[in-house]
Amino acid sequence: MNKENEHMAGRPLDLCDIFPPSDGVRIEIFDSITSTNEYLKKQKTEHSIIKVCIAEHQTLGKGRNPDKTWHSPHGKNIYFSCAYPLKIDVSKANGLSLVAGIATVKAIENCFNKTKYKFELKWPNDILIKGSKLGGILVELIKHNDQQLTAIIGIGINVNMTEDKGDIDKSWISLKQLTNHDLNRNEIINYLMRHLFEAIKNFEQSGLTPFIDQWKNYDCLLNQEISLVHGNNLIKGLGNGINHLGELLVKLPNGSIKSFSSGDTSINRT
Amino acid sequence: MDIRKVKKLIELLQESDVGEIEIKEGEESVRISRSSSSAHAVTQYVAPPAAQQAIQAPAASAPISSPASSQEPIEEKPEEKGHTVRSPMVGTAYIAPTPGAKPYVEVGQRISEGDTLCLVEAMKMFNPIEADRSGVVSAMLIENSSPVEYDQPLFIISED
Repeated sequence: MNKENEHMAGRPLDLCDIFPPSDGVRIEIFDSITSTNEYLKKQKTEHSIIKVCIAEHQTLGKGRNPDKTWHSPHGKNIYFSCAYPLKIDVSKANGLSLVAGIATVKAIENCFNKTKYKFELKWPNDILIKGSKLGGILVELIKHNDQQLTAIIGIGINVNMTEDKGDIDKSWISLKQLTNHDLNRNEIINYLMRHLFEAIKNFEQSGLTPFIDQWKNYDCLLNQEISLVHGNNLIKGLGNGINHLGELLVKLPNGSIKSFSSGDTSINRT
Repeated sequence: MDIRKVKKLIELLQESDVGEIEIKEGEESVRISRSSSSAHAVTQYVAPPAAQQAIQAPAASAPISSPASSQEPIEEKPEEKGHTVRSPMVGTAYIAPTPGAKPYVEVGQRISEGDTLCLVEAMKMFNPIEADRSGVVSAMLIENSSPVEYDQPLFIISED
């Protein structure tokens, strides 16, 4: 966080401090909402406009598995979604969630003068630091009657959240826990929009190729003994990066390399 | 050879002008031909005879399949007549919005164009698959959490 911005830290989300990175971006802020993704899904689509929805609090944080709830205290974190009209076909959209993850990490890195923190990505959609979860990405596609595709990209980042009394869940971490001071969420959102929209534009033009090396820089599973859980299947092996489709490559004990397009990953602790 | 692969080949044949497909994988081979007694089952997909003949010619010059090949045409299930809804991407298919929830649709259910049939997810990107026409769900060709390939048939919708 820049010194001159420190007095802004911990402030509410404020449209006076959040600037659309380009024309055609419409931003709405809510004090409380069920889910920023759900809200955007219900909005009428305008193909030339990127809609952004940010909330101080979500009552029904989006996730597929109801057992995995996203801790959502009021006014502390970033709950961000955007509805981005894509210029590509659905068959070319694979990997968009990874692109959003890379953009999010870069936006967070931008908020620090030095790169003294090593932010990581855990395939497919988790942002980690020190092995704990700092944020996550969830993408939903909507196909309109005219075949136009819109990506609803939901991004959650733990910013100023601290442990509640009696909270023993150490699986998450916030930026405040890292830096010991409050951060200005408005500033992070400005960086996030800039990096995210630039990255998507690049993805539409060039596909996932330019992002594969970038992913490698943040890939916490690379050369690690990992487990991949998919439905009732458990696969163990060595993380071997991603392929051109964004699929996870795992080197199996028999030496073969297999690709996976879905699943939840973890690093095996010995 | 994986039965799903065979099934996919049949679908491929049905949707194309090709009269016959022969695939060899190591020792195994399979030949699927539409010029058979089961042709009635795929009548609605059959291409004009002229187009079939034209494309059958190269197949005839292909090496004769090994004795292991299945030359018996595989009978189509009658309920698979109708409009096929296919996966637009590689991923995992989910038949319900969340684990344990009621499936989007059941076989026999009447649906309208635009209704969500299932989700296909890859790398936490969820793509709702919608019915592109109204009708009755006559077959669900996937199980929950099953991997799907690009263009793989997911549902059959029959006419009202």
